[in-house]
Amino acid sequence: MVSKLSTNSTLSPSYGSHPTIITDVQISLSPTNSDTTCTLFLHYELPPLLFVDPYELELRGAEYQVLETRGRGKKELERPVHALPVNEGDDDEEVGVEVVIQRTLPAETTAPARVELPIHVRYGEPVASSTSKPYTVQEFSGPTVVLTCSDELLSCDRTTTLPQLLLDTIPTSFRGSSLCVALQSPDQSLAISAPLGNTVDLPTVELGTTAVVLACFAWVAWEAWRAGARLRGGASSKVKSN
Amino acid sequence: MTASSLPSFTFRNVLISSALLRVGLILYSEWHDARSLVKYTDVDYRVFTDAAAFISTPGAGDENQAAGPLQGFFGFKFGFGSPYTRETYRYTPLLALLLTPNAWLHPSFGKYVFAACDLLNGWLIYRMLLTEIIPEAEQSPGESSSSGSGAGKRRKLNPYLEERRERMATIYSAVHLLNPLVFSISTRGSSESVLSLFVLATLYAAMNENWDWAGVLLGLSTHWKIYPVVYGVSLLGVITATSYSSTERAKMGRIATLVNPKTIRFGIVSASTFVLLGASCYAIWGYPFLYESYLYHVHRLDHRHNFSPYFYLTYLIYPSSSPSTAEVVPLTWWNELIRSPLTSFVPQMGLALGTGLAFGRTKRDLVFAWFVQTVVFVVFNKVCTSQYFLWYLLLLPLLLPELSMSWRRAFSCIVVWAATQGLWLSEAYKLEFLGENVYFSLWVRGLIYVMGNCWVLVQIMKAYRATR
Repeated sequence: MVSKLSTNSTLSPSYGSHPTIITDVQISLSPTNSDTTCTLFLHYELPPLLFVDPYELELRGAEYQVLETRGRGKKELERPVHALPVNEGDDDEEVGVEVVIQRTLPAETTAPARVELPIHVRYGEPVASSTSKPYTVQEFSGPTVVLTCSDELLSCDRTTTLPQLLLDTIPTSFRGSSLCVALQSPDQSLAISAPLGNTVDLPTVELGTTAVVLACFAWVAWEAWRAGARLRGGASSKVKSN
Repeated sequence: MTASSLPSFTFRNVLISSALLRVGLILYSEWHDARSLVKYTDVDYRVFTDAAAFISTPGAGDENQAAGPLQGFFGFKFGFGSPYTRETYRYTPLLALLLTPNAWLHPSFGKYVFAACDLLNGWLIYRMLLTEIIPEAEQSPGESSSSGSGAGKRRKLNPYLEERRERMATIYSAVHLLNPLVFSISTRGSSESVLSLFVLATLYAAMNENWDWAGVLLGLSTHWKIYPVVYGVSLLGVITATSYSSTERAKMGRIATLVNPKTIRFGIVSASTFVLLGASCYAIWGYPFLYESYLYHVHRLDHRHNFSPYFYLTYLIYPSSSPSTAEVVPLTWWNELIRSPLTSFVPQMGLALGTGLAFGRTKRDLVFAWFVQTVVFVVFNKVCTSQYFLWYLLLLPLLLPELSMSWRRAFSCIVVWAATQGLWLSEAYKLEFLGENVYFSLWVRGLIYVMGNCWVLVQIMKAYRATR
């Protein structure tokens, strides 16, 4: 069977804390066979600034199954990027979480298959900036897509070296000559813009927070004392009148 | 047309309407969530449900096992898994145990439990209004009923007065039962109504001068979430006021009004309940229970944006896991002081405990004391989300009969309370969904939130039992 596989990924939106990686996978099989079943495997390699909520992905069970999630920050969903654990032996600090998902395709697929992976953005490490509104632009690649079919696939790329996690995750029954691989084109890399805190604000924030909190503390304490005195005064009047 | 002229405006009908509303919303949530990626159900409910599943289905070997020293009792093995296998589950294991039927009975079981707690809360509010608060409020502002009156000593009332009290109690309890914030939070699967039930039950026991029960319920409330511990301070003065005659109290010094045989007994009952619950949970679930339920909250750093202005400071000084090799400039004593946890802890706990001591002197003032304590605890906390507002909104219907303020002032309070939130939310939307760098302006709005809420609190304190 001759097959062609191509992929195109976009980030929607390319700003905000909760974008989605939308991957359209174009598959063309010739000739088609109604008995043929195909499965897509997508491997995402996210930078530390981005993460997935595995429990959120479980809710998309009707669309795809998450086979594996691992890497820096897999469990630390609530930390900023500069507070992620650094494990000994981590050579590549640019890689955060890796995700592998599986999606079964209907027989005789001709329409593009769309896979949506919701991701979330951590708070980035604050910087000192004179512009007062610093941002970071994080670039990353779309997923590596692997197509496997029950019939042998020909004429498709299977020379690309697959990420180890993907190799470990794809069931052995799917491997071999029935694999096709597609990668996002390098000039179509994804990018997200994320705001950063400005350490130049720190003295103002320290002073302002402390001043307002202490002032409000004093104000509420004073008014509480007055209210207490009024209530006690009222009680004393009643005792005297009795 | 007034509420009194509505033919069916009884508490029974308000309760039935509230129940039907909640059942309807829960059924809607099931329909909606099955069809939309944007869920009606709160993320927290999924956390509770996952934790409940983990607790009832332990894994093989060391995977998902309760980590405490007590795994069985007289040969009977408990066979619990650990709810803390679920990331971000930071509550008592009793909540996960409560929701285990989510897995084998119905996924919405927990929501029905939370909604039922809502209704019980409404009933408790109604009963306290009818039997204690409204009768007290009908006296002159400076008066208070004599101590030791307790429940059951009711004068025979004329029917008009009885009807008026029932109508007022119904209206005020409807403020809670029909509050959109209340019924949306419980039907979305937040567990706040369970803690609210424990808090209101504690208050109900206190109002009926059942101090042993109040101690047990306060211990249970504090086990569930730590903040109710501050209510203990205000209860001490009230226990003394209701347990000793005015002659005996006149001979007591200030210390003795807080520390005497009655208050010591209350403290022992309350502390014993808390320790017993904690020890039982530790025995089964071990250190993960202790850490996730309590210790985590001591050291937590909430750097993500929330109503509290502390978020930006926390974010800017959040410790890095790989500190820079650049030269570190030592902090001045001023920086050390500002960044010290005490700088936030002292105002918060100083006010929470101080107002408890100041206002917890008579049973009549107990609701007011708890309301003020809760507001200051929330406003001065280092993190604040919308769910925290429920902690004091719960007590507002009980406080309303004792507030004397003009409609203009009342309207101003509502506008300021809502507007400070709206001001913050409009900016937070830009950060979270538009990715705009608005950290500084969001921090400023956090300061406005603190000041605005303090202003509202001051108005309420001035209006409490003010001379009409």
